Amino acid sequence: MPDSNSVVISSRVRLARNVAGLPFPHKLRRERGAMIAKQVYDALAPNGSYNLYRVSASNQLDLDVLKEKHLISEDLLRADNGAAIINDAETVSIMINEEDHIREQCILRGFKLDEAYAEINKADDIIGEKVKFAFDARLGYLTCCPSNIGTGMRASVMMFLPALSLTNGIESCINAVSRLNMTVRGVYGEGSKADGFIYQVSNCKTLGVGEEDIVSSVGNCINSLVESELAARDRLFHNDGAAIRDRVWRAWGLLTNAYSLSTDEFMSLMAYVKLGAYDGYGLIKISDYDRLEKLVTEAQPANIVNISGKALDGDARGIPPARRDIMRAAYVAKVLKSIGSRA
Amino acid sequence: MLCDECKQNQAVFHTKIIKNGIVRTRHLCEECSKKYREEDSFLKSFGGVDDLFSSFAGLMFGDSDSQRCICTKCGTTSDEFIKTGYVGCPDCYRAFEKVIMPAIGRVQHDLRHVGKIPGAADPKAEIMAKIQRLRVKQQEASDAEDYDEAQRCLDQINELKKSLEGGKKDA
Repeated sequence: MPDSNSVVISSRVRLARNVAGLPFPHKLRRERGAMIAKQVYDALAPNGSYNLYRVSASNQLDLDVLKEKHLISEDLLRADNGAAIINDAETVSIMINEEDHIREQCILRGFKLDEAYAEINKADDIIGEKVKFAFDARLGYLTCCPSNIGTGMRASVMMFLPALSLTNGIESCINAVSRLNMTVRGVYGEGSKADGFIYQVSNCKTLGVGEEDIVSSVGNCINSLVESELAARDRLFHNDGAAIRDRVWRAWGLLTNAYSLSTDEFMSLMAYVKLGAYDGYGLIKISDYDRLEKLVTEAQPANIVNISGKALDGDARGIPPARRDIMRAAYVAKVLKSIGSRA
Repeated sequence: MLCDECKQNQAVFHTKIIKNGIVRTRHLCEECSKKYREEDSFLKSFGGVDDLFSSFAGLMFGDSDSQRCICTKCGTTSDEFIKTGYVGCPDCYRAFEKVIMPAIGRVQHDLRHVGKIPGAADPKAEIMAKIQRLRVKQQEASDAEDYDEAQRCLDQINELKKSLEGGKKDA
């Protein structure tokens, strides 16, 4: 198996569930919708440390922070009676009244689809003891959109594919992946452009296939993408080593010295620093890769405001972007210098 | 029956109109129905984004007049489903079976769930779900006149039923 650490960012498994006998969220009466969050929270609370966030009762900054951590979706923020139940480790997140009544997900750093499935399956059993799910013997779990019917499961892996992107190999990889009934998209959901060479690969088929089979077929697809990416990195350095070295070290220089950094600039420079930290290149020495990956989330707009503690009335949008960019530059430089150096 | 429009001629065209989940029936004579058809085609010639999308979805989902229907549980219409791609409640899957099953087949290349069963931690619930699945399979086999397979399903169902009863005695 190829070394996936410098290619796979995180693994996520999501299960879509609905309460039997109730209309789906967009057809559900407000009062009834509000009860689902309590039911699910009551089921989970005795089994671990969970927090319940109701969208209408939470401040905007907290919600934006969760969204940037991929624990809740943009759609949830617009949902009537939307809520999220999230564990302390921020690995398990249950969204209530998004497209479906209950969207259970587990997200873990690195290539750990099996573990993510095992963990969310456990939570699903616990919730299933207290909540009767809409289920049909032939069609499986019934969901608001028929594209999720059956297992209601989406296994997705977030990948960092700079070399395939730079050598124009990404197109053929996307085509190959599509032929395997998988889909590739930008990291912030459907139809968005891939920032910082980050892509999300997930299964399309949810019916007529078992959960373990979904995990293994997505896993196989990821393994071959990792292989292609690593081969492309070697080719890239072999053909254009001087240019790569220059871009990586320039990126390092800017990220550790800039006075102001926009999110876009940070994302594109960070991609080169991460590429430089790849063992095969050894251009940047990093002592803690998890910390490096965490920095990508921390530098997002809401998270950086949250960390700096400068939010007014819990609304990150009250901070002018120019000030946020200065805070980001200072924070990024501090973290990078503490965990890394130019080789 | 007299025409709804002119209230004079005998109605010969009977159309069902479903709007926002409410079904109305319109009875028209030959003369008035012609007038309506002209109006409709006039409106359609302008089109609109909604019309465009629904005709596109109609192509995808195999839209046809004979397949229009309404879910009695939540009031969602098959037109609404074709337009948005969302059903309104679990019962919609049964109500729109004719429209929805071909669409599922096209997207999923499969029509049978083989994954997790809720309450699998409870062995009795799992057996019940297995029985339910076998009944569906048995029905399909006999529809296809594969009576050997139907019999095999029945044997398995009886075996499972026995194990359920055995479980009761133990308890």
